[in-house]
Amino acid sequence: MRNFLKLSWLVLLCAFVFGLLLATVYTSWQPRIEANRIAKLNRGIRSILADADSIRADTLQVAAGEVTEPAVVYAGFSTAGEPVGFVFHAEGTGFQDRIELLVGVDPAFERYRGIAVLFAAETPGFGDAIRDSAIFKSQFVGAPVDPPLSVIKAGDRTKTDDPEIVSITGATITSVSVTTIINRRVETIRTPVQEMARGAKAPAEGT
Amino acid sequence: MSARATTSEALTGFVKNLWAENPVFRALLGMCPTLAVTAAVKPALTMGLAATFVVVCANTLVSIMRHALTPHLRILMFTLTIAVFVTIADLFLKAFLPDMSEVLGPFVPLIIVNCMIIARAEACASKKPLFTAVMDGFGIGFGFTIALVMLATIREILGGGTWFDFRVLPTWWVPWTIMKLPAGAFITLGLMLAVIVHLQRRRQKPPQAA
Repeated sequence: MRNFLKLSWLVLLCAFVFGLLLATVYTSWQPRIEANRIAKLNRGIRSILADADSIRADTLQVAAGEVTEPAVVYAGFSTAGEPVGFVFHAEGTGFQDRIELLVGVDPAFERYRGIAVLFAAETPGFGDAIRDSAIFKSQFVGAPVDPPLSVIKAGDRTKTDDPEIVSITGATITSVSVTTIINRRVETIRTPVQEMARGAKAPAEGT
Repeated sequence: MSARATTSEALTGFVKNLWAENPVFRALLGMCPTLAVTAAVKPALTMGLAATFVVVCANTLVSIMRHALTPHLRILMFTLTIAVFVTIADLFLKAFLPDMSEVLGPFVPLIIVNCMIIARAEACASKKPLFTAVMDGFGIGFGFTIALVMLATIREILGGGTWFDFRVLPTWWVPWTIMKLPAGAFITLGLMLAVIVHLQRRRQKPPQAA
């Protein structure tokens, strides 16, 4: 025991001190990190459901292979209490890293209301334009859910009534990833959201 | 060693690490972030400063504990120390610069395995007094930052016509797409190394006899 302590006292001491230091730093900054995450989520939802008077979060069971998994869906309601749209998460692989999106659809689940990017670490100057390019994102507003979204390399970027999305120049893989992520998510979440839409009622208090 | 000699050694080490023994251009260390985050100047500068913070803090602690380090604990203690400060740097970016944290992605946590930092702990901090180790950390960190910003400057200007997100080339400039891609990083770094080695050799060449 004495030999063990003699050989390892420095490791034990440092592990304790470093652990304490990291715990202190984490405790101090974690609320801020969480606040950043929530603020970004709220900004994303609000950018899609800008006309909603109140927004309510519901957890639905969504098919994931042979099992189901919980998925949070945000429902926006007008001042009259009518649903104006739904927003859900969609995640998948991009060109460099994972891409996490918020996807908005209308109450009938027939047209997209828009998308917001929650996480993307694509190539700076090219793929990362999915976060900042208003022209790219605006193509999803009003695009039909059926048939599934597809990507073309050249076309009219101002057209919003067809499922063809004109890719970001130099970032075709990222653009295809975005549409693939959305199409896959729509396949699994459509039925639960439509069932939820049938019984959707405005929350007692706006969020 | 006298205080004056120690200060002189520390300052010499600091200056040498900035350019003559630059970790990127002379020692070819830390290549992973050098190639990965230099498509634009902002992420390159952030990565350079994060690595500077880690190397300075790690050198400080390793130098303080250098008399207690035994051979079988050396690498373990270096890694433990570096990991702590990398975690702090990562949490700081997530809390105060969340957008930049996203851009840098996994490359901030990967500073843990940056051989430049463990090399300074082994070669300098575990043998030298505190002031020398701290100045060595600043020298190597700033040298790394300078290299990253130089590389990113060339890539961002040619690849997008901007520098620090400000347009510096006229709008008719057609961006060189390749400069933003990994291939552009390899090409730019290779050419920069060639120029630096060429200039070094020319400087070292003895004058020809008349």
